[in-house]
Formats: sequence, C-alpha cells, structure tokens
Amino acid sequence: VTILMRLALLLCPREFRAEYGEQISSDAEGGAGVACAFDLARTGLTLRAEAVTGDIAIAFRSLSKAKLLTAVSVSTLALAIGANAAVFGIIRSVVLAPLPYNDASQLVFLCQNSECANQMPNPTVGAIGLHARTLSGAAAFQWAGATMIGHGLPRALQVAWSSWNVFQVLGATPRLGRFLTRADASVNVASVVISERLWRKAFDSDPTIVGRSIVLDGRSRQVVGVAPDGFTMPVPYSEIGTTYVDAWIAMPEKTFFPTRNPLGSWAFARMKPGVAVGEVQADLDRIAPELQRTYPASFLSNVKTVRISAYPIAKWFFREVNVLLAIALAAVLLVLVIACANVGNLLLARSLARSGEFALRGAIGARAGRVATQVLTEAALLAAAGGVVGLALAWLGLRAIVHFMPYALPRLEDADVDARVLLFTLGIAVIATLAAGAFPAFAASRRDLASALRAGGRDAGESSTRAVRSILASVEIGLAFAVMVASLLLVRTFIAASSEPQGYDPIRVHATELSLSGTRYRSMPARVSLMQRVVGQLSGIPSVQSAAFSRNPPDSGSGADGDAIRIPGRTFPTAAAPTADYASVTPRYFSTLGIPLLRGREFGDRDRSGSAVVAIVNQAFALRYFGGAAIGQRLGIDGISGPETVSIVGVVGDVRPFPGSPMEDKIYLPYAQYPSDYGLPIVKLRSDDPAIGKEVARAIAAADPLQAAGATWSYEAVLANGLDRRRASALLLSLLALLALGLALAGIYAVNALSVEARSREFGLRMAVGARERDVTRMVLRHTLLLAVAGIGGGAILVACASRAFETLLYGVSPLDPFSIALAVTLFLGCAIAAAAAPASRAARINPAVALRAE
Amino acid sequence: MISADDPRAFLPLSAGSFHILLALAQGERHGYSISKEVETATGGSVRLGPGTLYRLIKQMLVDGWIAEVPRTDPEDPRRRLYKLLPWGRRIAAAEAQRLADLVRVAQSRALLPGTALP
Repeated sequence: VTILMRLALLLCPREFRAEYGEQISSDAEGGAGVACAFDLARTGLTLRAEAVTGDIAIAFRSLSKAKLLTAVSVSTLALAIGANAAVFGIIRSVVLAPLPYNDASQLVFLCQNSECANQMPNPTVGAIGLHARTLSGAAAFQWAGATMIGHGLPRALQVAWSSWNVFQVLGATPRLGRFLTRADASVNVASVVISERLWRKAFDSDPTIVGRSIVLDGRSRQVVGVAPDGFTMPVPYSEIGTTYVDAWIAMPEKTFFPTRNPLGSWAFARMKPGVAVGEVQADLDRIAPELQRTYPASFLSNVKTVRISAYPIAKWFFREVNVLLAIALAAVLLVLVIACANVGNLLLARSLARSGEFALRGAIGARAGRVATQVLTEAALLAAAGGVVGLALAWLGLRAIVHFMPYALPRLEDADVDARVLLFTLGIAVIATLAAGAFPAFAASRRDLASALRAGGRDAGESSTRAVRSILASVEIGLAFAVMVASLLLVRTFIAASSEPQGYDPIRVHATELSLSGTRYRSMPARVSLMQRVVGQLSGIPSVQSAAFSRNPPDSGSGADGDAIRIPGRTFPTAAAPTADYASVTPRYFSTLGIPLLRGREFGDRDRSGSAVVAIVNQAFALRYFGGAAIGQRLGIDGISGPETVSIVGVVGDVRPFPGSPMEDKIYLPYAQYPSDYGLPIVKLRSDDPAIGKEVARAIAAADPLQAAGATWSYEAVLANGLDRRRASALLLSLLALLALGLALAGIYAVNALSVEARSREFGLRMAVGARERDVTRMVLRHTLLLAVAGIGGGAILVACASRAFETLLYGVSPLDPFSIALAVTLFLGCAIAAAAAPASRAARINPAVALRAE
Repeated sequence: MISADDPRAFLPLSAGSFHILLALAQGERHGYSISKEVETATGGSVRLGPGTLYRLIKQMLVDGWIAEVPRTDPEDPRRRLYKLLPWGRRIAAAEAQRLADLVRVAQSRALLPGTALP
C-alpha cells in the first residue's frame, strides 16, 4: 500500500505534491487502504486534466486575440502538414500496400546475367526449382496475346503462358474452382484459369463457369478456376504499362515458351521459410555451372558463363519509384522543417513581446514550467488546426493527382487519406508542435522580471534570441534553396525529355495490338497473306493516309531484344559483340511513321519470300559498324536469318524506343521475308477520326473474321502519358519549392521586421549622432544578405551531398547543372533583398526624436 | 438575485466540503484529524480519501474559507493545522440552514420516523 500511495502521489501535479505530499505520507502512516491510493490517483489525474483544459482555454483566448499570427501559422503548418500527408498517402498506396501475394517478402525474381526480362527459358526455371535447396518452388510465365471466340465478338486477351506451379509459388487463393496443377501441364490437357475481370466482363460473373469450355486461338480449353481480382503477375511497373492478365495456360514442363514475344517472359521463385536472399544467391551460384552443363539448350547460346541472380521482388518492383518517392518525402519534410522554423520564429517574437506578462506571472508565483507549458500549448493548438486543414488539403490534393496523372506511379489509383495517413499526420503534428514550440517555450520560461521591467517589457532578451532567429531564417533559406535546385533540375529534365526529337512523327498516328491466332498462323505464308489483307483493308479506311505493320514499333511496350549480329569478315571481342534490335516491317512503314530515309531505298513489294533477302539499318548502326557507308554491306542475325546473310539496301533515321531513352541500333527486315506472329498495325490519318478504333477492328475482322484486334491507341496520347511521371515529379517539386521559397521569405521578412522594431532606439541613436538614412538601410540589407549567403552556402552543400542519389531521376541535365544553380542563387538573393526592403526602409524612416523619447 | 458576498451563492456544498467545514467548526485540526473526525461523525459511512481531502483543502485555502495556522502539530511537525475563517463559517452555517429547511419539509411530508401529518 505504501508503494501504491507513492505511485499515486506521482500521478499528482508537482505543485500539489510539493504542497501536500508530506502531510499525505504522514497521514498514511496512521493506516491507509487501497481505497486511499485509488482516491489519490484519481485526484491526481483530475487535477492534471483540469490543468490541460485550462491551458487550452487560455491558449485559445490568447491566440484568438493574435489573429494575424494565428492565420499565418495555421496556414503555414496546414500547407506543410498537408504536403506530408499527401506524399505519405501516395507512399502508402504505391509502396507500402502489400503486393497481392501471400508472404510477398519471400518472393524473388530470377534473372540471368543481371537481365531479368526474356532471359530465363521455362526449362531452366524448372531445373532451378528442382535443384535449388533454398527455394520451395520456381515458376515462369510469358506474356502473349490470344483471341477468344464464341462469346460475342472475338476478344483479344492477355494470356500468361505459365509453368503449372505459378499460383503456388506466388501464393493466392482462387476466387472459384482451382488453380493449375501438374496434370494441367500435360500436352493432352487443355485447361485454363481466367481472371475475375474477364469472368465479369465476358461471362457476366456466371457462377457455373468452372467446367465450361472457351475457345482460345482455335483450341477449346476447359475453365478450371477463376483468379481473384487484383491478382496479377509480378512484373516491374517500368517494363510495361498494363500488368493485367485475362487467362493463365499451363505450359508443358520441358517446353520453351511458344514465341519470342516482345512483351517478355519472367521467372520468379519462393524462398523457403527462414532463408535469406544471400543464401539463395549462394545456392544459385553453386548450381548454375551444373545446370549449364546438364541443360545447355536452356541457356542463351551467346553467353559463356551463366550467373543466375535473385532479387527481392518488392525491391525490383519499386526500384524506380522508390527514388522519386524518397526525394518527394525528403522535400516535404524539408518544407515541414521550414514551416516549423517559421512558426517557431513567430512564437519566439510573440513570447518576447509578452515577456513583461510572463515575467509578471513568474513574479506572482507561476513556475517557469507553467509558462513554458503555456507556450507549448499554443504551439500544439496551432499544429492541431494546421493538421486538420492540412488533412483536408491532402485529401483534395490526392484526388487531383489521381484524377489528372493516374499513370505517374503504379497503384496510384488507391491513394487516399486512410487510418494510417491519419496516424502519420498526427505524428507529424506532434513533431511540428515540439519543433515550433520548444525553443520559444524555453526562451519564455527564462525571462527574469528585473530585466523585463527595466526594458519596459519591450525588448528584453532581444539580443539573445535575435541570433537564434537569424540562424533559423538562414536554415530556412538553405533548405528552401536545396528544394528549389532539385525542382529546377526536374523541370529541366521534363523539358529535355519532352522536347527531344523522337525520330518519328506521332501526329495522328494510331497503333493496334495484334497477336495472330497460334494454330492458324503457324506457317509463314499464312502470316504474310493475312498481313497483306490487313494492311489492304486498313488502307481502304477513308480517313487513313497510309497503313503499315511492324513487330515492335516505338512506344509499343516491347523492350529491345538485343539480337546477336554477325558481320561477315569481321570479328569482335566477346564483350563488344554487336547486338541490335530487329523489327519486321511492311512496305510504307517508314513513311507512315515519318521516319526519314537517309540513303538507299525503302522496302517494296519486290522484297518478298524467295527474292534476295534484304535489310534496312538505322543511322546509328550504319555509323557504328560501317562508318556510314552501309549500303551493299551484309549481315546475319542469330536466330532470325539463320546461317544466311542479308544485304543492306537502305539507311533510315534513328528512333527512340520510348521517351527518355537513348537511340539504339536497329535493323529492319521485310515482313514478307521474316514474318512475326505478333505486332502492331499502324495507321496515319489524314484528319482526326474519333471512330478509328472501331474502323480498325472492322478492317481486321474483314481480313479474318476469327482474328481479334486488341486496343487501338494514339501515339500522341501515349507519348504524353509516358511523360506523366516526369511531369508529376517536376510539378510536385516545383510546388514544394515555391512553398519553401515563400515560407523562407516570410521568415526573412519576420526576422527583419521584428529586429527593426526592437532596435528602433539603436537606429534612432545612430541617426541622432549622424548616420544617414542610407547607412541604416544598408545595415539592414547587409544583415539580410549575410543570412541569405550563409543559407545558400549551406543549401549548396546539401545539394552536392544529395546529387548522386538524385542523378537517377534526371535526364539530359547534370545534378550540378550550373544554369539551375545560378538561377536559384539569383532568385534567392533577389527575393531575400525584396523581403528585407520594407523593414529596411522603415528603419530609415525612424524619427530619432520619437525613438529616443520612448526611453 | 444572489450577490457574490452572499454565502448562499456557494450552495449547495459538496458533501466533502461540508464535512471538512463541520470538522473545523470545532477548532483547529490537521488533515488526518479532519478525516478521522468525519469518519467518527458519520459512523464510518463517509470516508475522505487523501486526494479528495487535500484537493478540497487547497481549494478552500485559495477561496479564503479556511486558513493555515502558522504553527505545526507538535506530535508530527510534517502536519499543518487549519482553522475555519469567518467567511467559511458563514458558508457552513448557510448550508446547515438550507439542510434544516429541507428536513422540515421532509418532516411535514411524514418522511422521517416519529413524525406524522398534523
């Protein structure tokens, strides 16, 4: 009971304890029960609650009198807290939300020689799953298109050709029916798992779908299960735009993927429980040479030593996004620091102005701690109001971002203000309270009555806190400067990426996804004949100026394959073995896309099967290997042209595969000689035609009623969307930089205005003994310049330190770009002087007689 | 309208406050003695815990109902003695009067033993 009493006493406020603690313990010696301890504890809590309520009421009254300070502080904190909440909301939705797999942290990508796309053939993955001791399973899949017929119009589907264990390795529960099993991987079984999305759209969520058959690419397959919504393949966002899958088909275990599909194949594995990525890597290093000996055909022929790497799936998934979000988070935190410094500065100035009041309260018995609590309570009230307004701003901001830039980041569409964002905002508000209130509270509690009264309650402690306020203003400038440089670099990156020539003309060009139905277009002549009919039908559309077909036109989401090239009579060291991306295109491809023919000729109808095999190369390739004189030279492409070589008949301009990527070497082959089973018909329109998608679908149906066409998209729109991320990051950082600049300028203004007011006697005295107005103005401006230069110097160091991390976000501009830095320096110096101009001129207008009379 | 210098402005008193005033009406006491006296006077049905007791004492000191006597209990120097001030006595009297009036009403309604309707 004694211990209980002592604990209960600790719950009481210090004053109460000091006053009555001795009596209470003395009384307790006469016998005290648990009830006594309970009573004491309850009293203690009540007293404390009353004290807090009282403080809040006082703070509310005193803030409602200082309307300007309250308005400025609340809006400053609201902007800063709102920016933090919004960025955290994005991070929560994009990065922190779980991936749609059980124990996603146990999943790794399997990559061969640091390349992750298109490098891991299915049999290799099967062998890895069999031999690796640290993995519980390994699976692979490949994107492919397929046409489904029999349920309304032919429908183009995104199909994942998968190893049968893909669902087990990823870890998911079927929505209906079952997932694939080993039995489904047999050549004689034709089964398929469909997505909930396809089930809804094509089958009206028919509950009896399991067991029914659908016809895919001419083959009837039985639906065995429906995969849940949100379940998709773990493909890095940057690789392709859409990651949804309509149907999963199991591949026979030792078979290669059906085609070299440009959308790529991917391999991944699940680590055994308790195994670290490092152990998996050691295990893979152990088995790689063995696998290469046992299954030589499973590895790329042009690679001598195979290294299989494991990358944690989340790390790989978010590798580009993380940098951007880290920068955004750093920027909003800097803005928060600036805002807190600003509000702290205002509260400090206010506590100075109230030093008389505080000193008096101290003199009549208020402990120093009480005064400090009062100031902190005011800071907390401001932060709470700022937090509430900030949350509203964050909610609006997130809505706007999701609405206007949905493609800026993956999984952005779920970004919202939820419980976690609320919790984060609460934490930020508490931090803001402490950051903005701590020093003013400390300063207020140390006022002594004598000096406060001696100074007439006006500028006591001015000199001691003036230094602190100057340092705060200087830090604000430094941080704002760093954010400004970052934003200028991103703006220059956006300008560089959006203004660089793409090498083709995207205006009124539309492309359509097209995968040829597997069984019916296995033969080359069938493909060529279909494509001639498709291009013919497309050319017949009235609004179409010209039509063509290419296996992988720019911006189609197809990565460069880097096929190995042979040039007769030339040998290259292994490291510098020539590679180039190849594309089979129909005649008029170059004129349709506006790619300039530089030398030689385009493909024509004479380049058909059986005639001399030819190629067109781009200028980069021609310069690299033939010094520009490429016409008439010969080359071979491994796996495409076989042992024969093709003759170069033309050179065309370079084309960027997608915005912001460098020009790559490229070889074009006539479609009639090297037909692919996948690609995109492209049309160039005479004038805008909103119905072009339907007309293209009708034209393809006219060429083959059983062949589905995928989506038709416009090059202009895709190029604009492709810049979404750069536009979003440039816009976000620019807004933050302007906010930071505004707050820092407000800080400079406040410091100068308050200091001029407090030093009016000093200035008056100076002018009385002969200083001219100009001298006084110069004094104030010199002080400001000093602050600004010190801040900019600090900010420059920050920029230099962060430059390496920042570099990955930049394109076409160096992280220490002199233009951006010079612009920021000029802007900050100019604005700092402008912010100091008004206080400086007020200092110059001080009337010495009036200022000295105040004494 | 009751003015602020009328003791009735503070009625009704909380049970604890009234008991403390009653205990001090007999003379100077320290806190422990007050709580013992309250317990005795009510036959043990009212017990003032230390928190409640000293919180009320603190408030009454601030409001000028009671005052601290400038000497301590000779048996235990940690204990301080309190006495009733005239203002506190007037308030206690007003509360007693209020309760007496209520008791009279209760008697007239035959709510107390030994009384009956006239």
